[in-house]
Amino acid sequence: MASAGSGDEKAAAAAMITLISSDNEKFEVTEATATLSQTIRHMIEDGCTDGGVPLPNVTSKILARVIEYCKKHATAAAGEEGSSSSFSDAAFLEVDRAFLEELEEFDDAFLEVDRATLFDLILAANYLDIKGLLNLTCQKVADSVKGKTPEQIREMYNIVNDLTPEEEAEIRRETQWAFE
Amino acid sequence: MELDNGAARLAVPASNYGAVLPVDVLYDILLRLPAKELCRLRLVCRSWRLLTSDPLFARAHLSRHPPHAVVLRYDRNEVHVIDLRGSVIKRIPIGRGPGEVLSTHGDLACVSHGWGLAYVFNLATGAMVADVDIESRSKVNAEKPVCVLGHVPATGEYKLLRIQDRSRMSYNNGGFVTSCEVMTLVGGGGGRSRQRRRTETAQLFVEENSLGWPR
Repeated sequence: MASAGSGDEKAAAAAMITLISSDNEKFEVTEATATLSQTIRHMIEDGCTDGGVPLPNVTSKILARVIEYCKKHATAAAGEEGSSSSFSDAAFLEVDRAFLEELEEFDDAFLEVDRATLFDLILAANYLDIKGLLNLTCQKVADSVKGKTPEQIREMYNIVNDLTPEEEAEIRRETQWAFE
Repeated sequence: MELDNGAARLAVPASNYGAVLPVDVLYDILLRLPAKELCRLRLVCRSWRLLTSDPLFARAHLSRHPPHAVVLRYDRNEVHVIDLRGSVIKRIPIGRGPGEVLSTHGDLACVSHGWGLAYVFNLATGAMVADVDIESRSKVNAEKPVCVLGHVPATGEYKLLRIQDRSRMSYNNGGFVTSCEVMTLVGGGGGRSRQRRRTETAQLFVEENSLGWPR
């Protein structure tokens, strides 16, 4: 928070950040939401978020989804800050567990997208350096590949087979056990 | 976010968008897959093959998917399977006298005993796979040989490597000689196929089973 210009911590926590997508749409988010992205966190720390943060690699469609993810997970990270004071410890744990379950359901539902969107989300998560989202989306791709034949994977992800028949035969020989 | 060296391509099928994943992301994705999957996926394309054949990748993968390690001990005609906390989780009786070196490959294990005899069995079922009874010819000025089990993926054959140290007495030029013989297991028997000589001693002890192991 060194050079951000805003004075005390509280003002900084409540500060809003404007994110600008590649198609020039503006999204207002809280700093807590935005800082799930390490890339944006560093920008905030360097005090260069005035006038909005342009994200030329992320479309509004994808940015909206990314923000949806960050909002949900920022709330989780912050705990139940606003409302927790009145709960006893036991009740607090109960709420915590319920919230984690809800978060898992949210993640599952969040991943219900077509492959192109999934790839865009991965690229955005990678660019914005959002660990949780990158982890979630990469795992989804890894799961989608499991148990598939090389042919199926090429078809799924539009990969050109650039191996020569000799190379293919060689790989098959080397890894025969994996095909049994 | 552009692909920096074109080594890895995982293109999006959408016709309007030709995005590819950066190499480090593909690396991350492939690291999540079990070893057996990865071996099959080498056939997808050249870049996947290169990426998964890289020693650095292999190391990263190993640290992420540590093998299910067990230790084997031969104790009074029995092989004990011991987990990493030191408890015996299985005993397999082997009626073959004192055994010396144990080696494993996948589900198979080999007890080396006597003068180059070897008993190969299935760790999971305890069933005998091979009982090699070709004794070592030289017992004079020689150490008892040890047999180590190996597997050749290309042919699917299991082989035994028999290593024996002999003192210079048996050789005119002097020195200590280690002889290595490779035997191919064929239907439970053993047949000698190759002999090599080396001038350093080799000690081998294999104690790791990387396959899922039924308890």
